[in-house]
Amino acid sequence: MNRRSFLKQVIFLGAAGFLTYLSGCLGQKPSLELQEKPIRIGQLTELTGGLAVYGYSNDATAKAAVNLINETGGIAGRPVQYVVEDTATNPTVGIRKMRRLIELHKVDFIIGSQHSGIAIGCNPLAKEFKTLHFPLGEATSITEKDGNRYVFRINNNVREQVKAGIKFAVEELAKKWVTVVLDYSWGWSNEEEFKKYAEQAGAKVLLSIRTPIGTKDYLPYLSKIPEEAEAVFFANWFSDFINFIRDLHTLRPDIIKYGPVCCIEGVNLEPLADQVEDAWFLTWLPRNLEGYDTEFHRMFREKVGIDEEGREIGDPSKIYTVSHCWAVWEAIFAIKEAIEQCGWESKEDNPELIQALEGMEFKESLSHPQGDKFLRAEDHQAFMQHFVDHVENGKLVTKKIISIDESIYPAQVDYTKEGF
Amino acid sequence: MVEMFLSKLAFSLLNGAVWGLIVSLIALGLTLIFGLMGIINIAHGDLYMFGAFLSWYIINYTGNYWLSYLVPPLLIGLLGLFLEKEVLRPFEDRPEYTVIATIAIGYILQHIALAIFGGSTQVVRNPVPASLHLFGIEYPVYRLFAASASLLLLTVLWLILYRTTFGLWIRATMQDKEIAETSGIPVNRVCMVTFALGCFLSALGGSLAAPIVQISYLMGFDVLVLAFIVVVVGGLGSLKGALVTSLLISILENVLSIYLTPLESRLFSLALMVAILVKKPTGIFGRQTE
Repeated sequence: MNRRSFLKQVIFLGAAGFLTYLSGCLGQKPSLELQEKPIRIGQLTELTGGLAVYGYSNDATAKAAVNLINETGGIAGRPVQYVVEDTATNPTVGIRKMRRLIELHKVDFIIGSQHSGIAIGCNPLAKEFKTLHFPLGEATSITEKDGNRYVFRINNNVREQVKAGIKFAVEELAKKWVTVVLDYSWGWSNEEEFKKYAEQAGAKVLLSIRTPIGTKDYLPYLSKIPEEAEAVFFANWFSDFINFIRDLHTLRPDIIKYGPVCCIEGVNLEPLADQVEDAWFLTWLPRNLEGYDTEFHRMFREKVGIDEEGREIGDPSKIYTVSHCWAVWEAIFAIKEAIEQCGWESKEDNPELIQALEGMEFKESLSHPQGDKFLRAEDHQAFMQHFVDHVENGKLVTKKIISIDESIYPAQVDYTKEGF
Repeated sequence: MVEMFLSKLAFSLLNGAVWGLIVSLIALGLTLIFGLMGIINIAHGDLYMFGAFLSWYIINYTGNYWLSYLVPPLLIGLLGLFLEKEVLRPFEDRPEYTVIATIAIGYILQHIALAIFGGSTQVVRNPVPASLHLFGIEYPVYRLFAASASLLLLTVLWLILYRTTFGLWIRATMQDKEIAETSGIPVNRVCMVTFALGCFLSALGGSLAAPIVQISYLMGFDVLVLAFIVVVVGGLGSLKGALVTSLLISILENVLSIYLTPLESRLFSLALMVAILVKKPTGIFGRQTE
């Protein structure tokens, strides 16, 4: 090649490049650069520490959702990248990891954590960095005094849960109750909300017991339950719940037992068959598929790798937190739907995206297998149906579906008046 | 009214004594290792956790409870032999290094358990699901079994320490390593076997407690804190101190809970432990050192 032909080629390639750039700038279609630029979704989750059982399920669910989205054309034609950070179930670590997701991994959206304390600590960062945050913790205040315009909760909260289940508890189970809860914020919220709604519904709470986390021996405390008590409302989890239910069964095998599903998430009930027999659990999605056997719920399990009994396909020793992990799936699809609705391209467009999400309704589908729901505009809180499971022959059997209407309470804040 | 109070008091004393015996078994391994070797074994709780997990695994796959009480302590005891010789002996007489080393061992054990068994809580079916009607309350028989087993093991341990030549070597090494060595006692072997014995006891505690407390890879931490309180207040290295303190703390918490909330009774019993240490910094049965 001589000098003249080399210069000709350089000029030709340069001109071609310039024309390509120009066509991109004219905006006739999304630029190649934008189409190739991935949307980055980060998850703060508990891969280690006390809530590790949730982290495992949440991480697997997010991966499955992102895979499905990428296989079916991405979000607005753009691929999705998923980044996970482990909070170690520790608020200090969790908040640090939130910053890491935003500043180092440059994520566009953050889902999690399941830990309410971490979520509350991370909410101000969401606003500071103008990054949409979808916490999974269930403390009511996350979408009240501790929330802001950048925080949306696609799952339920303690007040919503207690309110959804109270009619069933008082009208169909008992009128004279004792509450036994863990002595920390989640337990207190359950105790306070249950007492408030139970008394409004005409029932009585005879005694409230708060037990320290890690209590091994419940006998001294449960021996205080008055003779006339008909039922116990409990809010504790993992080993605390198992120690509690064993000792309660020994002391008062006849008493009615009712509590949120969090107590048994990820726990194999088989060895506890006698102790949990006849207990009632309020759930957000039944562990056993037959409790809510819909086409979309079935497909959701298939995509994530969960069998009909809530176990991991291929490793039955692992039990998924089915009643919770659907929220990770639905949050990712809510992001997709909102982006495609408002034409979001980058964080610059977050105000439009927030407005699209405020008041958004989600129809039951593969994207929303838990059922219909809506994100209330004022407090960014989602409302949904609930389920009541009963333990029969050691198995969770869904006995009731509670409609969305029964869980709705008046909004306490209005973020729509808050600036961006 | 008086009858009811007496019935509650009797129940609290019984339940406190039962828990005290179980806790003392777990704390004994810790005090033995510290007393002899000056090692603050932070991994003690995780060895207990591993014992419980192995028991769960054995019960799941064989259904044999006796095997679940025998195999995990032996395996953890063997692990103890290895850890003492290969990991801790190079840091002999440098307690600060052994703290770091045992923290690392604890983390490794936790994460092995997390990787193998997952993060969820595992439950061991109660081998004796019956209950006895005692002091107006149904009392689980398995707790009485676990407490009796602890009492038996404590007696055996006492006999080993005070009625055998090896026990004499252990006590001599505890008093003065150098003089023990010059007297012909194989100090290194004594340390290795005693460390393994401590590990054996912690794993046995885990196996016995498995059907009462639930199993998760973080369960060791709760026990470690309690065991340290018992060992420090009882007097570092004192077997009698560990037994008396675990009974004291457990009975006190049970009795106080008749009238106080769980949190208040725990605070009160811990405040008493602090008061004991303020009055006697070496612990109830601790020896004054130069």
